[in-house]
Amino acid sequence: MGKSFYTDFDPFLYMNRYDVIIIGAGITGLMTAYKLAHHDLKIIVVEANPEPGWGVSKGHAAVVHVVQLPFSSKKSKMAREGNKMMEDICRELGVRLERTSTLIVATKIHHLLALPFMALYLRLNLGRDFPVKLRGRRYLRHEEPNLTERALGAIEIYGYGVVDSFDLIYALYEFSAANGAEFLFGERVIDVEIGNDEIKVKTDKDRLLTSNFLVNAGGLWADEIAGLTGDEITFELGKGVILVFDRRQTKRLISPAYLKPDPKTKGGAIMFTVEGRGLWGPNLRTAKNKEDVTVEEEDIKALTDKFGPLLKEDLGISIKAYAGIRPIPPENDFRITYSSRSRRIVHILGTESPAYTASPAIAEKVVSMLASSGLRLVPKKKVFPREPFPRIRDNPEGGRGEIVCLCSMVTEEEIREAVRRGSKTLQGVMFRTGAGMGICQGGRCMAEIVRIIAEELGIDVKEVTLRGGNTWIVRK
Amino acid sequence: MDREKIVIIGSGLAGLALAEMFPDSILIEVKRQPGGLFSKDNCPVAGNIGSEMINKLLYGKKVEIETAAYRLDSEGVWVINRNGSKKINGKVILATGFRERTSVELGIYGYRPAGIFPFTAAWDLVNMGYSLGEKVVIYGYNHYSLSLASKLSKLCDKIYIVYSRESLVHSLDEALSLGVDLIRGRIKWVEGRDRISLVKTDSEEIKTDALIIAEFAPWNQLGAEFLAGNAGMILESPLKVVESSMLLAELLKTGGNMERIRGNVPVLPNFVSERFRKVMLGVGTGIRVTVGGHVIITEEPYQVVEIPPGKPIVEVA
Repeated sequence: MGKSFYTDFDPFLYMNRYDVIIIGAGITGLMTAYKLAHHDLKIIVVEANPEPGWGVSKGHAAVVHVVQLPFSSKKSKMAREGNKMMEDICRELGVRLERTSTLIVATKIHHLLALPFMALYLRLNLGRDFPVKLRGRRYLRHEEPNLTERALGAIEIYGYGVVDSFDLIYALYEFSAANGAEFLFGERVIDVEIGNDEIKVKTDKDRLLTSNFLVNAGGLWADEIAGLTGDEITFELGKGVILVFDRRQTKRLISPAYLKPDPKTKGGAIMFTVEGRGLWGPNLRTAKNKEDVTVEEEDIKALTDKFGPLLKEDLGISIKAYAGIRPIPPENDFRITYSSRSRRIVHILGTESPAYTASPAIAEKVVSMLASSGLRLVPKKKVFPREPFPRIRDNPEGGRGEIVCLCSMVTEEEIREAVRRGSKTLQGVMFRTGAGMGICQGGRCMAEIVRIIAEELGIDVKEVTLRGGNTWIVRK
Repeated sequence: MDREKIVIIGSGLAGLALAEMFPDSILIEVKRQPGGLFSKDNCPVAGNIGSEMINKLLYGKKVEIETAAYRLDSEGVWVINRNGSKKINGKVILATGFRERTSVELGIYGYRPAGIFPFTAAWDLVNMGYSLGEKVVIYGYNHYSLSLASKLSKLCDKIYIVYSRESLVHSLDEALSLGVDLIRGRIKWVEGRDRISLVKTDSEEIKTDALIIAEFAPWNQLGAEFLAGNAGMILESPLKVVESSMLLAELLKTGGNMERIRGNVPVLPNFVSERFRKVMLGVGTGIRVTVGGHVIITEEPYQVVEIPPGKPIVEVA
């Protein structure tokens, strides 16, 4: 029988006072928890979703970015700082990070002519940390055989990365929990009261938490949390669709060259995951509301029109398309700020791309802001490492086990381990293990995974949900 | 033929039929039970019932269950099970069945709520004894969707089958006699935040709490040369699955220089040699097909034809 996922709640907890309450267990909240968990502190993370990383972070394409325009923006600088910090964090947590570069490809002669100027501009801004090279046709033919014959030349920017984004989310959670951070899942914060020497937080389950400091890492809902502390921000909601393919198409990230880049996005790219699947996107449109994760025909058409011409014929099979929603603040930049009411409250606002890349730098900034408001940071004498998630596909010749998911090569033991580590839903197990994410879309493994989850949790199959709430799967 | 061992991946109908012809072959199965999809298929096609054929073919067969094939190389196949992984040398034939076409391929947009099932998942869950919903929409009219509909008709209030192509072996009346509502069209949109609540076709809206995708594509999972059964082309008849495996077995036993068949018509086997040139066409009745330069009009579904000498090309005429 697995351990209970929801932190078994201590009835006297409400009497306990935390040093820091973090609202939101997405990448920024988790990264903050991870940093704080290295210190002797009592912290708790409150998350509305049943598992970590199911908000904005879920829609992330797993790219560790370098270039974000304009270079003078906070998000551009923090992304480059975060990029450099990401490697050590992934190493400490046993999360896969594959370094790669981006090719900005010119297929039109006037774009080709502009490449040297673009390269110079990039070099001036990126400095030595992220080398920039001009590449000719021969190099492209040789290095990227799947690239269209119409590619005339490219700028290659080094220092990009592709990270196992779900594993990083779960690793940060597991590390923080292993080092004393408490987590409260499935509870939404509905009220914040700022006292003279304490902050009171109330959840929709009538739970009362008190703390000295509060971090709003609410992602898409950070505006509402800011509202609870008497601060105001309005997000524009940007929707981005990503198209997933059954195979990786290129060795590097590929992006078409533009003369006038859209300041709101790099305009997406041909990408890939550490599991070897191809990704196209994202585009950027206005979402109708925070739940508007619909994919429309025109999204697919926009992506296909944009990226299709950059590749030769054999593109692979598109497994699925999904939408993510970005919280875009009016200044179109990160806003990491004290509450107007109290310097013991820090808001992390506008965490759209490249917030995933920037998250280590964001967390560092948040922690230093808390420290300058009086949070005492005493490093722990000993931290417990995060146990890397076992994956037979990394070394099948040396492994054993019954395979449940053939597309991603996931064993029954891995499914059980995901449940033991806290996944109670089908989606959680899929995110943690990679099962059901391949070309068969879970056709071959869904029934078996649901059966194993039920067995491991000691519940009936009909009680297993896709992602909590009313997302039931079967009935008796 | 050379003495190379035959290694069959998949102990469904196609794999078992092949093993019948190669008593020395090795038969690998990833699931706990051999028999594959047809072992639970009780829907007759011209009097033949899949589950009965599986039972007959399973008799006396040795199947390595709970063993997954995960990589091919020039000598054979790598497999893994609870005892570890090993390489099995031999001529590998993939008989691992079809895949469901993806929502992007099918042009289904909208939300991604709970209650959307690829056919195989629905098939497994229903055979485990669970119901998928009260009002179920099945997308695709074919032998498999009809067989599932006949199981579901005992479990749920209402079944709709949305289809744009008809089955090659079942009439529409067979669905109607189960009490199924048939809707001609394409599914374009899925609505529902938590559980699926509505699908929109190009002509109507259907309130539903489950959508089963039963549009299929052949699936060469491991990039194998030789394919059998639904891994090679979609076959709606259990008898024809067996027959196509017989053709492949005959081709392999006859030997010769293998040449891959090209063209836009599905065929099995997917190779011919100069000595054996019979193939089964994956099309219905009355279709004009150019077989190695000669035009024929098919007289039955899954007709077997001989490809004349020369380049083996099979195309729609």
